[in-house]
Amino acid sequence: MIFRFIIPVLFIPTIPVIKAILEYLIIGNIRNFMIFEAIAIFIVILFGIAGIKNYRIILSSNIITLKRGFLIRKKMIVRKQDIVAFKTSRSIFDRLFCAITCEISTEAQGKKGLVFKLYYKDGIFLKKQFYHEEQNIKIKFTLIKKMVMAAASSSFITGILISVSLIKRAESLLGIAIDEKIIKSINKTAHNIKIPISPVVNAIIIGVSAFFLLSFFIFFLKNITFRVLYNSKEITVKHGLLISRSSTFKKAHINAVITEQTFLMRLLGSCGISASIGEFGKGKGERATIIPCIKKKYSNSCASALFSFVIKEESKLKPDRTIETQNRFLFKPLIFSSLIIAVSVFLCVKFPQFGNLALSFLFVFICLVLYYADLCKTAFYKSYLAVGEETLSLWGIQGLKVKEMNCKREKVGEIRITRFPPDIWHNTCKVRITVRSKRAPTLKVLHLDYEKAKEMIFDE
Amino acid sequence: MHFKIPQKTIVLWEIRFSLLAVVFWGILFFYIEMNYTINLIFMFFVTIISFYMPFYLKSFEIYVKDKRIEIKSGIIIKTEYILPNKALIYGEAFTTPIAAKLDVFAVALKGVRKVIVIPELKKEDAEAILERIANRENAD
Repeated sequence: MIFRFIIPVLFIPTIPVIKAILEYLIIGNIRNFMIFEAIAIFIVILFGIAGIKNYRIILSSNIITLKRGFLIRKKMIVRKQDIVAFKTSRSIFDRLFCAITCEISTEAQGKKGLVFKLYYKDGIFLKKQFYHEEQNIKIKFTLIKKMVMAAASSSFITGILISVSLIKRAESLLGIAIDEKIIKSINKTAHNIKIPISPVVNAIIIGVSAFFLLSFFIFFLKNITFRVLYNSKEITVKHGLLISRSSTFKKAHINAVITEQTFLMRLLGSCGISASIGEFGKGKGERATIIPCIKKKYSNSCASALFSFVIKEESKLKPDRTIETQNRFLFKPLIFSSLIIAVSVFLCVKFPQFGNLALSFLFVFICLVLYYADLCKTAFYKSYLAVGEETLSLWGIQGLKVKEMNCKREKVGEIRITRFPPDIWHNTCKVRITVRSKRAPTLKVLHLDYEKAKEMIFDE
Repeated sequence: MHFKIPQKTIVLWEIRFSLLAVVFWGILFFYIEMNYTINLIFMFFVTIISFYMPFYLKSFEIYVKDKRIEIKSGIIIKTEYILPNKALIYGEAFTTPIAAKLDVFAVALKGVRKVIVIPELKKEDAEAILERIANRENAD
């Protein structure tokens, strides 16, 4: 537990210490006097020891009491039934010291739950106090499905965030400008590619692809051991290569089940199934992936088998099948494409020297808009809202993804019906459902008949 | 169950505010030229807050009922928080070194979308609130 308490502040003296050790090994001499860093580490370790001495976990039949803190002493009492997820992870350090990191999440916790380290046996014993039954059904996935999952979870923004922090740390340790070398090589490659697209656009595409590949590689390694264990009441998701992680939660705490298709999954005719649990994880939507990749035709039966509240057959309210409604669905892509063409023409006319660059951007954005138009047309045919006695289901598009959400009515946080002037004219509405939770998933269905939607939602 | 803020908490907050005022005055002293007018304005605000604080703390009333917790506070702007049992997840009591000497604990009520902090109560009152939350009924 001492590492858990001192880690947040250990980074302050650690980097100068590592630098001094490297200096001594390479040059044989430490240029800067290290006493300040040594005193800082000593004080931090003292605080860590004081923190451990005050840490207590007390279990009774239905409540767990946590006492912690050195200067500010805290006592927390939580009912076992309010714990939504119990996560464990073991890094290389944990394995060396026979320890396990546990994280308890409740719906009030925030992005990070209550984290502490215990001896491995104690951690497993504690977990069994919350989750009694053995999860005897195991689902393993092929390498291809894990790759699809990694591709669906990756983004070039994640790649940028990971690479920037890695590059900065390497630069400060080695004292060379790595980022300048990377930018120079991307530019050189972009200029060497002989295609009728501007080198600037080439460089951007190469950079975005490189960051995406880095993000994909990291997500793939993280999820190479991905598997799911479940029984009638609980689900455990396990993954991780160097740090093995496990997250267990009760099906009763699941707010919604979401079936999602990204661009790649649509090409392969597959989808992913995830569960939304209150305050689970760090990302938006509080989601835990259950099935990373499954053929679309089997997704409904699979979700129904795992989660009893997933609607199989209910009367669905869909947008009217008229040319007028179809045109309304395609209105946004039409506006986007007109704007993009107008801006490109303006740039070509006003700045002829950037004509090639403008046309390259036009080509890229038009491809995106055409894909979005295809999604909107699919939404015209497939989007729906279905409300059962206890459950609710809807299908819609969010960004460039197709989603289907199933949840219990009691888990719904907010139902919003919006009507813009064209909706009032056509007697339609937009229905948005948000699950109850701080970072809850949300989905909307467009152009539904207003009277029928109201009747469906308010009929109790 | 009905709880009010004890006198010790008022003393504690007066001590905290005095220390803060001294530190803030010290920072101002180093960065701006502290003439008679600025000192007077500073002392005026310190006095107003020092007089207002005990009345504000005394206005706190905490009712722990079967199905909800109600917290009333405020003098000029009166506020009432009603937390139904369903929206409550757990409670946490915490204390600082000075508050620990006076045997008082603050309580944070953690709900699904909100955290409400009650200023320092007597230790036994804080424990009673935590026990009540832990053994609450969920019906509304």
